Amino acid sequence: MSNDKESLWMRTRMDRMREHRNQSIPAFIEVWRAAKHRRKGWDQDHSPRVRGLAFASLAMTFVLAVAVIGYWGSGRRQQNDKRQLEFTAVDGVLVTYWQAPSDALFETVSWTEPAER
Amino acid sequence: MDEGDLQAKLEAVHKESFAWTLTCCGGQWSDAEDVLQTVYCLILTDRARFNGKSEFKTWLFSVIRNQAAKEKRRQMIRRLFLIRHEREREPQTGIPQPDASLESVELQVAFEMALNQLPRRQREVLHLVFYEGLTIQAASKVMSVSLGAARRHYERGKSRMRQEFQLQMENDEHEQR
Repeated sequence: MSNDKESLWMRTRMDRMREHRNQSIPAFIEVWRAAKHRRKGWDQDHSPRVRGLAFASLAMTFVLAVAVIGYWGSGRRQQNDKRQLEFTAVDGVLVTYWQAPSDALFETVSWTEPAER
Repeated sequence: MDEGDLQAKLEAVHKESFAWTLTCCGGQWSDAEDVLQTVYCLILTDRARFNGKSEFKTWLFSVIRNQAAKEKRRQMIRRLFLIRHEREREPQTGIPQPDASLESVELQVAFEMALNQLPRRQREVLHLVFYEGLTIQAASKVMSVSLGAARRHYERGKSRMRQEFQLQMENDEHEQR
């Protein structure tokens, strides 16, 4: 089917569809009145404002909770670091004064010399 | 623009607006009614404001398209979270005229079903050009796509529409046997 014929076919079908639909399309005044009625509901409905407020307070609570947990966590971390430092200092002292055990501590016996009678 | 002017302008393009809403809602009449009502409400409450940068109809069609997309997203989320099974809704077509012959009604139903089978952009551009009589350029403005993209959707849509229509007709014949 050529392009022009296809376009003509589409247009004819669409025209038929328009005729067919126009009988059942709801009247403007019905839709308009329903929209006006709905508008009254929208004006009275404060829920978007309430929802916004609830969302803002939830966000604030979340931020506050994150700040408190962060502060508490950093305090704990500092305390742990301090303790770790003390242990390290003690370990350092122990390492400094540590001496390897002397050979004098062990009794040596020479097996090559004959035993005294 | 006062409410009287607004009402007159909306009334002048009401039928076209409804048809466009129906296309954006994939042929669902109840959804289309709801979306158009919401759009009128948005305009009444000044949440959607016409600033005169484009034609009134182009602007209105863009608002409808955005609202329909929003509604579709909302429905998808609702369907994801709802546990109960929603019955698959059949696309409703307009009530046939009593004097219309059965054959023409069948053709019409097959055409509308084929149109609803197309991808969204292709369906939209075909509706805007052939139903509303807009140019492809005006259609691209409504759809917020470039002229080249609109042309591509238009060409692909036309050829696919023919295939889908034939498929629908074959299915009908098969069912009748």
